[in-house]
Amino acid sequence: MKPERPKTPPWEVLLLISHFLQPKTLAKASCVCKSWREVFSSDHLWRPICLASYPCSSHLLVSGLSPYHLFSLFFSASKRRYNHPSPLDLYLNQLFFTVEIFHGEETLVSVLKPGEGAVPKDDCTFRFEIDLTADNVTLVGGIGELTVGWMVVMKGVDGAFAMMEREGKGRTVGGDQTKVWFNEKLPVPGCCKGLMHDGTGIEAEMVVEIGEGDNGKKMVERVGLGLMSGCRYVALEDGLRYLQYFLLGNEKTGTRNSEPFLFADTEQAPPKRQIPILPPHGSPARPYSSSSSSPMPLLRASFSLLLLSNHRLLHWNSRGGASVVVRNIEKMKPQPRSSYSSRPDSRVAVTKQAQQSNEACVESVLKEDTISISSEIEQVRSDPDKLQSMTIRELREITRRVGISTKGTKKELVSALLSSANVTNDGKDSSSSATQNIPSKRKESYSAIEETVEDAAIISKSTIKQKKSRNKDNLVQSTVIKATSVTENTQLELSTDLQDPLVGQVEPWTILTHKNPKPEWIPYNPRSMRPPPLCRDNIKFVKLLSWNVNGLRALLKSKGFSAIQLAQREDFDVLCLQETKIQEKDVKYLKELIEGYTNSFWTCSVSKLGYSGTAIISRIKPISISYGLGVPDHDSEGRLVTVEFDNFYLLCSYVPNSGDGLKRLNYRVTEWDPSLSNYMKELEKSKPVILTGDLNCAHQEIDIFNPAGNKRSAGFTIEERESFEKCYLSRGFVDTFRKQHPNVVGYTYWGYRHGGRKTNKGWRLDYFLVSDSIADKVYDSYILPDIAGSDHCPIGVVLKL
Amino acid sequence: MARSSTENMITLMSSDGEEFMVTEKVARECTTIRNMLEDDCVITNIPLPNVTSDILSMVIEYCMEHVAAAEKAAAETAEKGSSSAPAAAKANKDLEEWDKAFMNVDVYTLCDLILAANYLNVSGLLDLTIQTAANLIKGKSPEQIRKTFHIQNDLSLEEEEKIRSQTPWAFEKSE
Repeated sequence: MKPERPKTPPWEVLLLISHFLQPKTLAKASCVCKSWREVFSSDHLWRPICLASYPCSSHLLVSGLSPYHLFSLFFSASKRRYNHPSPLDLYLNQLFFTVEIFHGEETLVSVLKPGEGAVPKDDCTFRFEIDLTADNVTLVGGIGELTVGWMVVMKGVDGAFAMMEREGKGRTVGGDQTKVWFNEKLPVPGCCKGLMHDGTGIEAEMVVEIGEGDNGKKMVERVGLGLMSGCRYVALEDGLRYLQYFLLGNEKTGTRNSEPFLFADTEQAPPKRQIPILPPHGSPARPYSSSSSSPMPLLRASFSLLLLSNHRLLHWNSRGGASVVVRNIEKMKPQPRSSYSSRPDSRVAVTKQAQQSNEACVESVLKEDTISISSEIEQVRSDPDKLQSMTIRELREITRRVGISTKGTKKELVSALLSSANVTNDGKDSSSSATQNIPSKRKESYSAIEETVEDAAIISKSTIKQKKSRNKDNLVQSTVIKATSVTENTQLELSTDLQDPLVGQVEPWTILTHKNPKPEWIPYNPRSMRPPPLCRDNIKFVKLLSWNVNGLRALLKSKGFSAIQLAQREDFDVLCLQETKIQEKDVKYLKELIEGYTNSFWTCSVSKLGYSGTAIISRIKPISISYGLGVPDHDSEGRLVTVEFDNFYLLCSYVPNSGDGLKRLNYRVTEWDPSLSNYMKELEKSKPVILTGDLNCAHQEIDIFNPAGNKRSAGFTIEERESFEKCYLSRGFVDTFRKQHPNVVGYTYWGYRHGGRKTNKGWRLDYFLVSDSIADKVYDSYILPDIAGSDHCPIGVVLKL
Repeated sequence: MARSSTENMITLMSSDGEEFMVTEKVARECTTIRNMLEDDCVITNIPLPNVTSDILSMVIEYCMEHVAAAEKAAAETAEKGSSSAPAAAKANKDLEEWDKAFMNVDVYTLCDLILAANYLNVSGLLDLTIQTAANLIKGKSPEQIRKTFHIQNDLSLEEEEKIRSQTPWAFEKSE
């Protein structure tokens, strides 16, 4: 005789348990159901917790406040002290910098640079350089009469912020007449203006570098820009955050701090947030705030041009400024986007134009890069005695600019400078990759830079074979030559360089990052591990590409991405897309996404608009097309497109993510996987089957950076992995990448949360699975980690026919 | 385990009328019963209207095991004059293992055991069962807790959101 079971444990039990739980667990348990909420958020329970943690709350609790509420308030308050940085909504490529230099009342220089066009001095601090050598600005008279202005303007001219306004004279350091330093105090955000003492505030800095022209005249060569706090350059992100406060309004920085209710609205387990460090090219740009919903990017471009010409830029057209403005506006032109409204012919025109301007951009980037090898270091190396004669203040100034610790006595500073100069000398080749390394070590003190340089030297030795040239200048020069030659091939190469934020530097995915690597594992490097390309004349083959684009509209809008360029570079026959997030009504605009690929098949989610969605775009005409699995239960979310070609079926699938809290795990492993597997087996009766797409499962430990920490994360649960094994691999489908590279760590997805691709802490979630019968015909199964624009990168397969 | 025949036997009666004969020593593990005995309220027969027979049998099993372990330890100490540390540690470990195996029960039984242990005031069992239950809750999301305890979510989405928003810090993800 068993008594009927109550639906939930009796409250006495809960009460007993409650004393064994931490506040965090109690808070979670309060969400379970009504009776649990009663028990786990009761005053009786929380009163002692609240009093123990915050004795002062006893004064407040007498007034009948809920201790649960009060604890929560206090706890959040103390968490706030840990200074969670506000989310960054401003990106460098949304900004223009205007720089003006005056001599007396006369305007010497007036330039406009897009934010991503200003060359960052390194990757982690808010410091930029603008090269003016091409503008031939001669300086007549003393440098004492120079004044400077610097303005940050949002693209679309939604906002502007004056960094420097001709206050104060320039200074020189140590009698060095080639550099003039300007500093101006900046306001502290918000209501805290009175709180900051002198010397700890925020300053804008401009360095005007003066060189000697051919005719012996003084020329303004370069301008360095920076943002400093407490005599240190601020981090790039913090600099943008500071600007964001003024440009986007403080309501955007203040209240978005907490996202209390992070449910699985987004399909991917980690929330989608873009890490804002700007690779000047390639990273997905956030659409301009004023026109994010506009379906007509071309119109928008002309709109912003118009505005700019109405804006004060026109007033700056004095002296060489005019040409500069024109040149820069040329650069501002949007990257080619084949989007809904653009007609094919106009699109081609834009592409060409943009390619030309890209070329110019690369050229100038490289040129400026050559010069930006820290001239201070050069100076130190060539003249060590000069250091000894400097005052400690001057030394600090220099060490600060070189980027090493400014602490210590004079002797320490001198030796630090000298050793830094020597290290740079030794690791000259790698100095560029060293700066690349800094962001990941940002938290460490700057004095660690020497170590970083050494690290980088090792890395670059092992990974960059092409860097045989000892002399960096040579290398850069050769790259420039490559960039300027006009053949189609190099143009394509160029576009890859553009998408790769690390021109000529270590690519993060070529470094083995794994928490628990086996000795035989090696990282995937597409440059060295792919077989030679096949020639279409001799061998019949197809090239299939698959990519989870994480929102096609965002991708097409993002700067530095062009579907045409991708098609040209990769020369694929079929492109499979997942997570297009396109709605049925917009499909008609995308039918002609890429010229020449006239067969495109789209399926969209109808149960949840702007979610999921898959597509196949092909230049080969298929025999038949079908959407979904033919099971209504599974087909409302646009997760599968099947096309039939002469020799095989191609399935493009976006497998449901088990979601936050593994809500859909059960659906995924008991319904979706078996249904898809059965469907594939059914198709296989007539032809071999290829399944590609984001299968949302990292199959083995080698396929995920942190296997141990993700045992209960969607995509790596034992249930999903077993289901993957059971439904696909053991039913005669071959994981082509793993077959070709049994011990290679190659990820296809990097969550924005862990620093994206830069840290290479990723997952391999995208696959090409093929029927056993054609597994031997797979010539190459590859990953293209250098193509940015989504949190996944494309993968591909070359199949001989 | 030899017991003196003179030891008092006590009958415990469960709510469904089943009777369990235990030695007084075992019965004394339950503080509630010990208090009754010490107050001379009862002699031999104790009705326990709050505990069903299957739960009571488990409680008795627990008490017997722990009494036996304590006796064994005491006997060893008496033999050797002083207890050897490694042996004591091993015995402790064995007992822990036994506890762990003993806790391999479904959540319903676990809850009943908590109630019984609380009523009978068996402090060791109470701590053990509650800790086990707490471990089932710790580190889980509300949804996972519901699954573990077979609970129907009777909160509407808005209500749940409201509760969550009161303690956002509890739902922040840690790396």
